[in-house]
Amino acid sequence: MHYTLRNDLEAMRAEAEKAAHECGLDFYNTKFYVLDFEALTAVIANIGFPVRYSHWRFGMEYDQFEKKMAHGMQRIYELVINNDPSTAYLLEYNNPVQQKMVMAHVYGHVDFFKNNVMFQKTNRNMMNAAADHAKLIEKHRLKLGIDKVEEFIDACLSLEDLIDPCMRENKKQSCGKNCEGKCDGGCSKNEGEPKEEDNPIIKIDKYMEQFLDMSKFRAKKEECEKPCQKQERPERDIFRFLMTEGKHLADWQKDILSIVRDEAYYFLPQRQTKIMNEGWATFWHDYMMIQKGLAGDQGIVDYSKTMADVVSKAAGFNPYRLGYELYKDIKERWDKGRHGRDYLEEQDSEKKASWDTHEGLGTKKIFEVRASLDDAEFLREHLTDEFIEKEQFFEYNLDMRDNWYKISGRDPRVIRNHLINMLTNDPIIHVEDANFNNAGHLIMNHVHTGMELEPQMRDRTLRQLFHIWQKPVHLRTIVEDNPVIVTYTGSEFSVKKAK
Amino acid sequence: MVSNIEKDKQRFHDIVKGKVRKNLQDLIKREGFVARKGNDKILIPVPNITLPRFTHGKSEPGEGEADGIGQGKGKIGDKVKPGEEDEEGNGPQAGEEAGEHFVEMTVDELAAMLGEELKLPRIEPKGKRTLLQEFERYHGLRTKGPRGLMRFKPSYKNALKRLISTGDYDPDDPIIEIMPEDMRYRSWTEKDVPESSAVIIYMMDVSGSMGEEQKQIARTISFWTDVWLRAHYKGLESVYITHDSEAREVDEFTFYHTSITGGTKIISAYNLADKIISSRYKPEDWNIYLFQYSDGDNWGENEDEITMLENILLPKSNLLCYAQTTSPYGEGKYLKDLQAYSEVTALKQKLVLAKLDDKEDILPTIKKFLGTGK
Repeated sequence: MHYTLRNDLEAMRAEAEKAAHECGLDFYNTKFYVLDFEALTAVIANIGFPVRYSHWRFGMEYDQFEKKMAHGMQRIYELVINNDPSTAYLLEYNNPVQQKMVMAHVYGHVDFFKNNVMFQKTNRNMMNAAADHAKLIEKHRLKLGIDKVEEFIDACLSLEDLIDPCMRENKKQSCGKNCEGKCDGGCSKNEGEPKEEDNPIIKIDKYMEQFLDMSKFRAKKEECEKPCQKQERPERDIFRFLMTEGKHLADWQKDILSIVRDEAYYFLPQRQTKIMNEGWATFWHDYMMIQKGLAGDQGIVDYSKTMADVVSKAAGFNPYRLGYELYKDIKERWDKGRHGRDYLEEQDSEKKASWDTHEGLGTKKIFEVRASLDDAEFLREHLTDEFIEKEQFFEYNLDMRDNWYKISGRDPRVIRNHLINMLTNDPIIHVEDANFNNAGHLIMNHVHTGMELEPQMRDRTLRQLFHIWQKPVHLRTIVEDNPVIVTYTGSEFSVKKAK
Repeated sequence: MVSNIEKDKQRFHDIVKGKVRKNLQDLIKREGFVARKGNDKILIPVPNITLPRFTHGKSEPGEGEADGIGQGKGKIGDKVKPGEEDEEGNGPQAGEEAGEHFVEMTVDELAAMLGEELKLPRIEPKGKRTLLQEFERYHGLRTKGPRGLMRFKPSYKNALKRLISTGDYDPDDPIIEIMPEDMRYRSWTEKDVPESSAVIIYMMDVSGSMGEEQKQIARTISFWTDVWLRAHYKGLESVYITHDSEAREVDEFTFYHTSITGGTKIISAYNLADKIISSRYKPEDWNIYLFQYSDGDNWGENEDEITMLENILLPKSNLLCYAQTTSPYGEGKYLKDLQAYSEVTALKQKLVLAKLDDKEDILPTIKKFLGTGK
């Protein structure tokens, strides 16, 4: 892998960077690497990390991706890693116009990573962290055997989604107590940025104490050792719970829990902002290619072809297109003042159609949107009825008579709800107690939001959880409209009516 | 730069193969699943391996809810896409649905699994064991090799070509410098002479009483016996014979898909098999396997057939496996007669008999057929 880009690519990069600055994008320094097909596939399977811990799942993804690429079912132009400095991979065979587009696109992503609220607490040094994780897991694999370690990783990965999306903070568990947010990071040292005050955590001989002012340190320590109060809200971060309550877990198991947790928190905001992030990058690369003239007179045709692919409607529903069109729509509405009470309450449709107050706040507004929302909020606030109509969204339902999906309507309310539900459809599961039945059983609570858990997956996941907890695990949930407790004892499942 | 990923992929494949091993018995019973890829690769379906996680089940959309959202023109009632069992949702995690995954295995791997699962003895080929010979011959050139095999002339020519093409050749001062990349060395090929070769002769009674299901079962058994024998003999050949009252040699497809209403004369197939053996597969050089499927309602008293077996076919072959399906019309006397015969003959070990009623008989039959180690 060469860091220095080929001269022509470097010139393009500088051009794209300049254009991005002129657009007002605010990004980390970004390193570009040019990779061939195979190397890019490999990086994608590792979700972007050049070094990641060994696990068959990445092998499987690689295998499937390879096949898809080989059959032309998948086209990929680039991959960007949220890191400071950021890293972006370009595919060697992109043509020059595509390379330029991709670079502009990348700067859009990096701006998003840097400024969107969901990313404010992500580890910007994740590439190195991932490499450290790889080293640590490799050590355990060599020492304990692949099967044992892998089984445990499998179990942890099954719980990957059970983290707290509201906790946009990912602190390390270091004081051993559940004092997150109470001792203000003083005791939970964030890796990579040791605070100076923390340094006195060294062994000091008694006689030295008279020479040192230990009061500050002691106060902190006491605060940490104070038993935590009852949690104000139920625990959604199962990893944190297992690490504190799982007294039987060995150090290597806690290492793995912590690694899977770190990576899950790192990827969470990317899942929560896919539409916004892709839309943002697409919006700006389009702007730069056309308005800023990156495509050039020669490249404009090639560019338009590629762009048409990216935002095509052909696939039925294309999230890339959705984000891109939404930003365009928001910009237009704020440029022309088509928002607020006056506009909304205007009854005259003709007046509405030609509404333009020359407000000119469009660009400011989209920058604000990209900084403060996630996908679900984005759609809730900005997917207007007019937009849904303009974009020709439709609902479809299965017609049982001939087993075809058919267009069943174009009701904006239904469409909006469906799209938002798609984004917020993950089950919400809280951990309740580590000493259920007073027998050290683990009990969790599925917060019912109208949908029941898929029973086969539910049972298989409980089995994975048992592998970690080693004692019976219970889950409060709803089965066929009845509140029940599903239990896995390690040998069998049971479903009992809840009291 | 990402070296680990190949290891991960290997690991994934090992896990998948482990799954195949675990489910082999079910897999064997499943019909018509396997796809051949080339001569010694087989594609085997395994359930997609996914890590479980809590997900919401699919619920029936209620009033005012949609199955999905699309984009584009069209009026209400227009078709969007055909419904499937396993609908690829629009959800952000589409593609994680459990489906089938094909794993590629070699015949040897699969045979090893089969052998382990059914505890089959390895086959001891009959006849004189000719050692595996390697035929070595110099043939062609390559760019690397030991000095002793360097060939001057081609190397020199290469150097000359290079110099001329770069314009460095001076006819007045023709100094040719041979660079390492110009060097050509003799190369050789190795040719394996098979240690022992084998032929399988399949015989199928197509007289109408063999139903589709039975044929499918026969085919499944043939597939596995084929895998097993192929792993033991390089260059295994197959011959297919169908018969009613007359026998003919056919290709594999016809073999499994023909159905004729007619009589049943097993002797006709035996005669044809003998003719084929005499003309193409000398018993001294070939390991000969005969697999026969019939409903057992043979015309006549079965004496001719048994005489033929005793005197000609059994002495010439390694094994004759006879599987009889239940006939809705007759009593299947042939199997009884063969059983009686096998009690008295000295060639008893070469005769394997099985009764084939339904899918449950597949495994025991394979085990019987291949369990002789012949």
